[in-house]
Amino acid sequence: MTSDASSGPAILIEDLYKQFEGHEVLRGIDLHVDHGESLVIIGGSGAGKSVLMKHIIGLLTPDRGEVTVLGKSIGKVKQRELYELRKSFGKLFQGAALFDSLPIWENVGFSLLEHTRMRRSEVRRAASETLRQVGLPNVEDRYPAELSVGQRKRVGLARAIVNKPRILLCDEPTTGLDPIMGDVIDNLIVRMRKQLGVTTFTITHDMKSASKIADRIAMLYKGKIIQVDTPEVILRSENDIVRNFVQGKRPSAEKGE
Amino acid sequence: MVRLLNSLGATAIGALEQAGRVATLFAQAALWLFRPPLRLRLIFKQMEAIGVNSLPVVIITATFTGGVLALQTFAGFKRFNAESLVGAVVALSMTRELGPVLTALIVAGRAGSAIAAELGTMRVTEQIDALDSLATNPVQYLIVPRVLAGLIMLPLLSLTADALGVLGGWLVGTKLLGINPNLYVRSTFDILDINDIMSGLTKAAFFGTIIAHIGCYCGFYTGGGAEGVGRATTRSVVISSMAILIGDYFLSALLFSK
Ligand SMILES: Nc1ncnc2c1ncn2[C@@H]1O[C@H](COP(=O)(O)OP(=O)(O)O)[C@@H](O)[C@H]1O
Ligand SMILES: [Mg+2]
Repeated sequence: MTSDASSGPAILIEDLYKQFEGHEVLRGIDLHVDHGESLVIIGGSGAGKSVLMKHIIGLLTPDRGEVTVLGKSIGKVKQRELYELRKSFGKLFQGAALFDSLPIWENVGFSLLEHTRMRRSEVRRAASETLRQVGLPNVEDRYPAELSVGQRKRVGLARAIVNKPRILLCDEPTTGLDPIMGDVIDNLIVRMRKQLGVTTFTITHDMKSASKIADRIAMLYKGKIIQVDTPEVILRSENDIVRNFVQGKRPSAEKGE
Repeated sequence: MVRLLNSLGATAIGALEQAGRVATLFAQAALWLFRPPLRLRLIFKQMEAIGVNSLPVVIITATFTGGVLALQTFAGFKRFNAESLVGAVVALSMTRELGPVLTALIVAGRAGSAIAAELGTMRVTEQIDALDSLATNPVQYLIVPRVLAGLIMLPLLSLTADALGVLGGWLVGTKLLGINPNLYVRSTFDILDINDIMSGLTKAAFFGTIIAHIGCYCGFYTGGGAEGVGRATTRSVVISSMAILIGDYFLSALLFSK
């Protein structure tokens, strides 16, 4: 990509700690994602994956440690600069988080309506085009409440990619989708990366999807990253916890139904 | 006893803390108001929401309140042959006090709570975080238009209430109680001053700002899922109603002392 002020990685997380009312969720995360790389985070539900992702875009602030994105320290930049930085992000929320009060096309085109001088008719066209990419034609004028969970998820993804972000954060993009649609979304993420050089940071439970889209997979467990490596290595991990997780087994301590 | 005092103290500190957070959020909203863009589309949408939510109730309440004021003052004033003053009493009470306060309480119950429910839902479903992620400040996008709409709509609704209250009083006074219509109208407009109306509308503007802001505040800081949204809604009505009644006293003292 052109003009990177940063010589370092696209996303750099150093010694990140976060607790909520005494409940320690993240305990010293060190992780980086290179420019154009696709990193996938796996880990049990409640492990803190979504919390980690929210630190990258500055929705949460660390108790300790630092998050640097495109060369800027998220905790230290001024508010105005943070908003400027966020324009190069796209984020798909775990629950899609679509705006209930807006029709689908305005949801998808939100960042274009807000931050560009494009006319509403142009934004609508761009939104339709992006919706087609996620396999959702003819929903422009519907409202989020009228869509299924899987459809909402895909609208959320369309909203995240409509402005061609440099960094794409996806919180469980394929959860709640049927396998075929899941495949469509995986392919889309792979294509975004190949064609546009987008740096992607994806949370998933779906190992098939993870090995398809990931350059590297990181496993979050008890507030720490216990292993980061290529899908091949992770799938044959020496680490019991990682191996059990990727093979869909429970850790031996919790066995016994 | 000590425990009672302790808990009272804790309540007082809690209330102060809360007041601080309300004020901080308001200061943020005020700051963001002066940064572009001003989203007219959203402001009109909110004005409509407040109007549609509250207008029917305001109309009915104000008309009957004017009527009952006429009924009650007539009963009292007849004792010293001052029936001719009924129109004046109705007009003064409505414009200075009941028009703005009743309107405010109605709007707090309907539009204020609706704002709290909407923003609360947006909070627990991460729509507010989504706004932030999309590089749009949620205070500017959500709170500024609602507070402005409250500030603009409350005086308009209140003026409607004033007019309908006077009409209700006139109907009851002349058609039911048999006061001479000319006398009634004359007594109303001889005494009623433009300042009575304006000071009432000033209060209404304050109330509108408070209601919308409290609704936003309660919604914005909702936690704890769908249940939290329910609590936020109730809380917004309780806090706004108290703020309206307490604020009314001080505003009246301020506006009418001269
Ligand atoms: N805003 C918050 N306030 C309090 N606790 C939170 C908050 N966000 C997340 N948590 C807690 O942090 C833990 C990790 O949550 P999360 O990151 O959503 O897990 P997951 O790995 O499934 O995405 C959970 O125990 C959750 O209850
Ligand atoms: Mg999660």
